[in-house]
Amino acid sequence: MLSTTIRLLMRSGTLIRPIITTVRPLSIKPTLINFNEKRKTLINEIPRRWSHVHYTYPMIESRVMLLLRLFDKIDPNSLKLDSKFVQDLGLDSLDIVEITAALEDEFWTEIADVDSDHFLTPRHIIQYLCDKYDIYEHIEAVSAGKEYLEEAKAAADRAHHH
Amino acid sequence: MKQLSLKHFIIRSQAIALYRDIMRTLLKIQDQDYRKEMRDWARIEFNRHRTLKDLGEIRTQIALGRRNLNELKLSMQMAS
Repeated sequence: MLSTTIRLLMRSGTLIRPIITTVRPLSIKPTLINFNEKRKTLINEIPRRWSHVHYTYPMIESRVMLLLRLFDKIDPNSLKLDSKFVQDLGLDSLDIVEITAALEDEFWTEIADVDSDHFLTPRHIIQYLCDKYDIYEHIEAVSAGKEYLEEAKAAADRAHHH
Repeated sequence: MKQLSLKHFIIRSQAIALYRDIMRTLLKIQDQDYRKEMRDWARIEFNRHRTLKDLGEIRTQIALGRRNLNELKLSMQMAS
């Protein structure tokens, strides 16, 4: 059952599929279909999206960078997180449209034109996808917060010692 | 610096929308060689008329592109 769903998803010939990071079985509701009176078949192979896959920042970053490296107009050696598409990699607006279409296909999502206008570096793409999937573990704590925490700790120590 | 009039800007976004529809449709093609061929053909066609200035000519090309895209979608439906 699992292998047929994998085959169904792989048939479209796109680059890579999300890596299964959990071992929970797909929660598919079994449906009873009555072909004729004598035979009843249990069909539980309804294809489902990988809704249980856990999206993390390293996974998104590696998928996006792989997708960009496989693009034939990008030189994979000069591709960095902050390399600008137009200025450093020599792409034009049509290429960015193509990259956006490939990203939509890879991440099973829709990306509007207004959003793809803001994709100037790979980092922007990764940040957009992190915002879409609510991933913020890679964002560093704001320094004002750190100083506040130290002050609060110092004040608590002083109150404790008095 | 090239000055774009408002009409040119609007038509440019229409052309980019057409290119996006083409790319999305091409990603559904299973055969990798055929997909590569159609993608290269689309790129060549768009690049050939990249420097058009007359709005009427641009609209004609966009309409031709739409027609080709519809034919492609029909042939994909027949094939599957």
